[in-house]
Amino acid sequence: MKRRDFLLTSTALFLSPVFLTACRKRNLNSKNFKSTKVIVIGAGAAGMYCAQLLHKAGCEVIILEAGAQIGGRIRKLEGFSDFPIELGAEEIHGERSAYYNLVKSTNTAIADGDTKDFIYLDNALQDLEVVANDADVKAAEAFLDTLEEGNYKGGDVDAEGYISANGFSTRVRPYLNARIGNEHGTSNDRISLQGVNIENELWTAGNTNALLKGGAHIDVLQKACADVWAKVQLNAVVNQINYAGGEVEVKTTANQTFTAAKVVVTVPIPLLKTNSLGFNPSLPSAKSEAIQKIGMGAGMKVILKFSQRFWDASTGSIFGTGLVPEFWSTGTGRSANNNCLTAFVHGKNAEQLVAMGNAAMLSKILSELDAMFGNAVATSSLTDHYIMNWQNETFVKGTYSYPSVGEGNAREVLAAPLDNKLYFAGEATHTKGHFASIHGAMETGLRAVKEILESLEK
Amino acid sequence: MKKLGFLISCLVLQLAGQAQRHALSLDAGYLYVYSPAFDKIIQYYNFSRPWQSKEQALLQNGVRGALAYSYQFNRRWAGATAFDFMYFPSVGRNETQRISIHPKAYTLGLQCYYSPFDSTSSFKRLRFSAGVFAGLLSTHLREDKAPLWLDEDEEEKYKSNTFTYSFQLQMDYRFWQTSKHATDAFVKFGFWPQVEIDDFAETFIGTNIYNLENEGVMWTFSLGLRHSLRF
Repeated sequence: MKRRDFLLTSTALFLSPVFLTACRKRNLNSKNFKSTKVIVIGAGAAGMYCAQLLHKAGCEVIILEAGAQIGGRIRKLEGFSDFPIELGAEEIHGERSAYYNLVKSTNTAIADGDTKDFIYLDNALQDLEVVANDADVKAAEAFLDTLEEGNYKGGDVDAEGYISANGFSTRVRPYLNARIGNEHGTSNDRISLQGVNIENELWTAGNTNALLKGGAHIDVLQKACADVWAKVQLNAVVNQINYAGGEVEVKTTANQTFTAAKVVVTVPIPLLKTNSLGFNPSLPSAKSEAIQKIGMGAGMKVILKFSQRFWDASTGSIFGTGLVPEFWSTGTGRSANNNCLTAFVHGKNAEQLVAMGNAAMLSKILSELDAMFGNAVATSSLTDHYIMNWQNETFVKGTYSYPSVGEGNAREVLAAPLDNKLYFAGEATHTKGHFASIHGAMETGLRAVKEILESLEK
Repeated sequence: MKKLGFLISCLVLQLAGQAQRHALSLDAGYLYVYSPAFDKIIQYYNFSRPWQSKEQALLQNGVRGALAYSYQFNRRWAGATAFDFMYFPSVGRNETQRISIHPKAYTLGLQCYYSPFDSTSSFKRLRFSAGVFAGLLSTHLREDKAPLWLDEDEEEKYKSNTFTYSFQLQMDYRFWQTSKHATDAFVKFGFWPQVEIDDFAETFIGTNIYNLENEGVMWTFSLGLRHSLRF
């Protein structure tokens, strides 16, 4: 080697980091994905986020939404109070997620989480912290902590059976129903404790539970998916998906036909259970069986507006003993003129209330509040109400999926792509414990994008 | 493991005892890192957050420093015991959020130096070395909270400490020396067969639904200066 060669080599060595740094990409490469057509069925959080990312990766995206609005189970009610009320997804679960990050990036304020919870115990409404040393409450809280920490070892049984068999007092069983079954989208007789335990074990998003203060989830989602928002074709009810050929053909009830190389299905589980999308050929039996195993059913929110606030100003939740397992103060931390309560009901309790008809249901809910607060204060001060019964929504039919007994690996089976043509997303397809959340739904949308991009790279 | 450490220590003492000359040296330089597994995690993080105006930087640029005690056996051969430090942070600065990843590697190792050229050669100032290092990779993940957010500013979200090891090849060029002092420029390549950051994808992205690996190989390239005090 000559001195000159050595100097040249040395210069190249010193410049190589600049070259190497310039070569490495901070983002996924999208050069291969241009001109790939993808149909996304469903314009909820999973579908919209998936469509936005596919668009960003260069794909041509068609978004078909059966309903008349974008958002799926994210919906806001405006004009009812002095802040937008969430009719669907409400809390931000965890602080380590893309959604949390999105909320922060949009500068949307969140409500102060410093609230007090109350429990209706022995015919009196009591501060949950004050009765924390009550033996029955203590036992219930200890069991909830065990579940929260992912340390439950009692097998794949329903919560109600386990709670009865293990001698939990009837005084706290409604509370346990509120905190386990109702919170997870059903009632204790239908939920798998093992499933809840696995969900908690896999949870990685952190423990912050926050509420939006300066806006609504749908506004945040719109900001994130602005590029594809106008592309959504509303009222496009898909009733046939033919995926036998080279391309996938999607037909709607309005006789529209769309074709694409890939289709992402993000519809809620009840629609898959009834095969309303008309898969042709039929989904493999393993996938169909998996779909049937995942639970999702009756659930609703009844928003109640009163002429006065008769509950403590710092109230978070009120756990009752009647058909409404949990009321919460809708505007705590969000509004200074907060006179709204939300009745949050799932599972068999929701079915019972719905069976009564709207008028009787409202009367029953108010009577439960009257019993807790006395003097028929709820009934006498009600000024308005709004019933959001998600089971009545034709293209949703429920609130969110829950872990049912015998579910096993059903979510993994459901989430697996079919023939590199059909991809599945939506909160119920989350395989790592983050189902029933906005960020979980979004993550499944990204997973579908990842699967599509990887299949295109091959 | 303890026996091996004891044997290595004895060997080092034995070699140092036989040395004709000793030196204490200090390295400082630029570090370039390439780890496909961690690149992938950051790429997915950036891809999943298209609303962020600035992307999270890859773990690729950093600094390196080392403190070494070396012993010259003869004109061609020398050995060294070295403490090596690497720091290769990644920062994503956005208007409402700043996330920074701070990996630091602290390793101890043995190096063997060889000077192949005669004193008459034009390349007499060149020296090559090979070494083995092992130690700790400590990673912190920090987040500056948005002003509207509830939590405290600059919260330490996560910390991971894992064992790691590497094989290093190095080339030195001595461009200045006196009887007591010497200064070299060096270029160093490293291969790290197993680098792990515990739960990195889960913590950084918030989920591991994408089944990304939290471990993989890492390549390092560094260049810098070394100053030695000979005795």
